[in-house]
Amino acid sequence: MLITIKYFGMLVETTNLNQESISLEVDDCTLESIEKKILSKYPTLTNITYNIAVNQKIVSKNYPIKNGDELAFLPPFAGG
Amino acid sequence: MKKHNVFIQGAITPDFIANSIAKHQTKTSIGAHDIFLGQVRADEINGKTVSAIEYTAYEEMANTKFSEIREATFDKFELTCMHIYHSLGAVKAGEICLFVFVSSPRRKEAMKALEYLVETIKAESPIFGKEIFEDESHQWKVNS
Repeated sequence: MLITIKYFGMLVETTNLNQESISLEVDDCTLESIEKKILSKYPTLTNITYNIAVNQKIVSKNYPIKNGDELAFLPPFAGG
Repeated sequence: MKKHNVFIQGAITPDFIANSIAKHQTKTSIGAHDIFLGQVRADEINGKTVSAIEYTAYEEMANTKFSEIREATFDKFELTCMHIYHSLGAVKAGEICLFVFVSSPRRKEAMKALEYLVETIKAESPIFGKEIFEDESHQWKVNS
């Protein structure tokens, strides 16, 4: 399955990109397993506080991920 | 759910705010407006002064979130109308980056609704701010 991952704010300085597509050989998995993959790719992310949104909703780590989902790594909000 | 685009490129100008107020003169059931204006502060951090904040957002999620916040606020308070605008891109110290405008027949409803709205926007909208210092270095802002 293919998923899209977006990065925002200070996280972009770690990943050096705003967005990437990741192809996985499994048909279903949890957010936690994808997060592990991302953290092994960008180890310095472990030092930063963030939440993860799936299809624009902030969800828990056991949330099931499906083909075509959009994940977003969101640092602390600072609007206003 | 009706989605509005709340984002404006750059600072929100005093003219834009004045025009927005003028547009309500035809709505004569309104007895009270309340307005919040967020302004970029020239904070001094470790001897360096903030000259601007550069805003970015997860725009699709933010617009969805703003629609949800609008609906929740209309359900909670007796309001005639409500407008929310937030800047994207660079806003210099002293300029306006957030404009929240509520109107109601009664002042107490307008004032309560405005406080609820501003606090909810700050806590829940995926907007990020990069504080740019005068020497062009930066740090990332976190809402307190």
